[in-house]
Amino acid sequence: MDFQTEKEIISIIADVTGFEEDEISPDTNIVEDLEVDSIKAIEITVAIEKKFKISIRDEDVPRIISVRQAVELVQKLLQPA
Amino acid sequence: MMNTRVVITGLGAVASIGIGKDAFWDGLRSGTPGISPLCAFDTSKHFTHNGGEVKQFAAGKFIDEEKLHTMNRATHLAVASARLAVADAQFTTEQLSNFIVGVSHGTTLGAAQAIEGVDDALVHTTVVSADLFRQMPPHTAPAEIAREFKCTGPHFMVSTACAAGNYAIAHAYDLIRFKRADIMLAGASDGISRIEYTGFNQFSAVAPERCQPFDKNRRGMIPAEGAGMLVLESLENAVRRNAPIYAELLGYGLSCDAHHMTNAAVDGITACIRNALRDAAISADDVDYISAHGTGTRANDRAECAAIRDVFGDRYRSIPVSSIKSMLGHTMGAASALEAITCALVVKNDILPPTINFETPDPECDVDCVPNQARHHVVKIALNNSYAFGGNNASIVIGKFLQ
Amino acid sequence: MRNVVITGIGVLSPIGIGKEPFWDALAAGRTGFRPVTLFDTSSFRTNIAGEITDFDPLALLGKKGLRDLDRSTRLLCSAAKLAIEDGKLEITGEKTHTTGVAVGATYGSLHSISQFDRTAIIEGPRAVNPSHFPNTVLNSPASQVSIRFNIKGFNTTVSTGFCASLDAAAYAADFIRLNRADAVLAGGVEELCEETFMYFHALGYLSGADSSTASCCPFDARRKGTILSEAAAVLVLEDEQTAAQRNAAVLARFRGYANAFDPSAKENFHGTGAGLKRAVLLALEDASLAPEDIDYICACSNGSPELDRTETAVIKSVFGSHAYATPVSSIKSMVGEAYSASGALALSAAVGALHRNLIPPTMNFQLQDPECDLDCVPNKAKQHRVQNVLITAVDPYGQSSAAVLGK
Repeated sequence: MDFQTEKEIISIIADVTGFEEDEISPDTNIVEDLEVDSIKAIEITVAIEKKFKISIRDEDVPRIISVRQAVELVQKLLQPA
Repeated sequence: MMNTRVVITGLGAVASIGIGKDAFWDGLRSGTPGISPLCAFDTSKHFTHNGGEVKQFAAGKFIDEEKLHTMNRATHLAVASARLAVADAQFTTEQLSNFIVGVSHGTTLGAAQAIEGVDDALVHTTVVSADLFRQMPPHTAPAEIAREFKCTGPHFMVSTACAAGNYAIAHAYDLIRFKRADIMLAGASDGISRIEYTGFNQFSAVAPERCQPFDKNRRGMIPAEGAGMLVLESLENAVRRNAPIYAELLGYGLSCDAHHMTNAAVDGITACIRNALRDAAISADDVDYISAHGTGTRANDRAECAAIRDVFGDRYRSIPVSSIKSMLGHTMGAASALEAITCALVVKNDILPPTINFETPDPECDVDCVPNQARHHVVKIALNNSYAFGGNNASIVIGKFLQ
Repeated sequence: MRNVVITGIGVLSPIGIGKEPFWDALAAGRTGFRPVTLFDTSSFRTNIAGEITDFDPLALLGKKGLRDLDRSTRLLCSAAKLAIEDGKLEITGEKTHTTGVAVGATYGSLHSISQFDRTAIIEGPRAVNPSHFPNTVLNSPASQVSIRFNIKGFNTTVSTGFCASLDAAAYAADFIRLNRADAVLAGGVEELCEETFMYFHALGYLSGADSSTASCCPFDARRKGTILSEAAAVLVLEDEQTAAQRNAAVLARFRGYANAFDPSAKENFHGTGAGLKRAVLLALEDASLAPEDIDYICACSNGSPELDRTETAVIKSVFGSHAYATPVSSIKSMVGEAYSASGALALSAAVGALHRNLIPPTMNFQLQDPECDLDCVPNKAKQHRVQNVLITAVDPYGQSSAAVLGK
């Protein structure tokens, strides 16, 4: 897994949820462990879209449950078509 | 003093499905959807592109030419609905001036288009027209109504989002019972708003084509605009001037979820309904029809049906529950005012408007939603529900007028 | 019908945070006008406002849930917290359902609405922060009070501009009288922001807009406008018996209220006299009081040339020969024009006057205006027996409101 992408995603999630970065690991369940409701989930998605200049929501988005899944999706979208 | 009975003697509706009470009622009965591609602003970068605009509305028909530029869209709609309601109640402005007349008005975002106009000018660094500033406060809507009809009585503006209409009507009801006014013009308005459209789009809460309340495959609400105005007066006053009476306002209930800004709490909704029933001195068994908040979002309809099951128990499947938002879209603050107008017409005519676009039942929303076709049904008591952002809930009880 | 009393007050103002500091500041004639730091004022002809510079939301509200709350909400929640503490109000168990919230907030937060919209214009609709969308509804600050303090009875936001928080308090009193609630947090909030400042500036309400030095001097012949400020104030209104049952300290009684609309109102407070007179007369009637029973008028005059003249004329018309014997002061000479929050601030000040038998002064008074020649308590607070206070509010779009508090 791309370490830089993971670091940036964790930073975004930390900022939105108010949890510390060292409390968030690749396997953290975003919804259950970090008290993320539907609005915060979208906020995280929007922040990731802005950061990486990608469009997640035009894809058929699988539910991003863990940090690891978020990173994998971002990497997939960053790959040249 | 608090024994004064309050009746509804005039109705003014401005909505995508019809302007004026008759056109509005015809639209409801025929199940006409009022959703179309939005023209008021650019939606090319949004996820959806449709809304419930009142495209056929010509403000100049209701407001003097030279005053038009001093008011924004929500106010145009409000003044028009007030004109329609006052005429419907068979008053001229001169006749109204013999009474203490007050205005109680509601909105979600007030003069949204004025704010948006100012923002456009600020972002593009063009000069902001003084007109836009003057139009900006939300309470310019009731002020223009009061000015139009030379009202000097009690004045009120409430901004409890998607329940504002019911809050405005409820307060007008109290004012008449307190004898602070003989007649109240009570209602609500909202113009189609880019801010609202953007926000709901960003929530992924907007259905792309059709609003399908209670349907298993419902995809969300559809932002819309409109205005609803009711003329309320004491029964004594109405009888004295031989006014035609649509219905009686029997009471209301409020509650606050105190839970989440946008996700409804079932216990907040049930508390609200129970407060309304208690205030109207009726039991759950007395309710013959429910005008649902029914926005068509997955969350609202599920929560609302859970609350209905809780309050109405075994009877819940025998009480028709329809959502006119299936036709109008969500007219924001105006919604519950237009729904109150609907309830007045329901108890007067014993006809239920349908929930259109209904295809697939959802076991979580297994109420009788009057699917797709209006039908005849004797309604002595109608319950008008509304649940707003912030968990501000309101339910009003409208009854067939019996001597 | 039930009697309504006031059992707690929470205030955040440019001259002090907390009920006692606020009352002390009023007594000392302290003014709260300073150069704005919250936004860039270089495109305006004045840079003075009543900004609350010592506001620490983290200290008052704690970190949890603070991040997405805008300034209006933070101010209002802080005022609510102080009011609950001051009134020793317990909102638990069944009381969560018999307690309500009624707030005057014309726009909610105009800043939140405008920033959300501008982000969408500049960056596109898909770039807005969804967590900020709930802040764009006008009832957001009030609703957050319910969420934070678990208040479920009812929650209503009143948006009548200059009259908003006076109207909210009256709405609260009505609910108590109607047995719909036993206690209500009633108040108002107005945050200082570029957008509201721009509005006041564009409509010519602000002193200093003609490039002279900004000054808020109500009733003074030199007055040319007001100074915009921010504030949040919440009062605990309660049923008298419920308050007695819990041994609450009663600060004042809510004795009466009325409002009226004046269709002849024009720009900048012109043509509002008939409406204000009607509101005052009806409020006195509602309180079962005669004009001579009023010991202090907490005026809405704010340095706007026409408003102060109109209010003076109305007082003379209603009070007749008693007008010159009744002190009339404007706390806006100290706290500025707090728009939606002005009524709640005035109520809070009126309670102080009743409690301390001390009438706050009209500060910055130098030059007598023959058309505003009542006793405006110039520049120094006055010790005076205060049994009943009249509070007024006038909105230039046509509404006037008046309330009466008693000991």
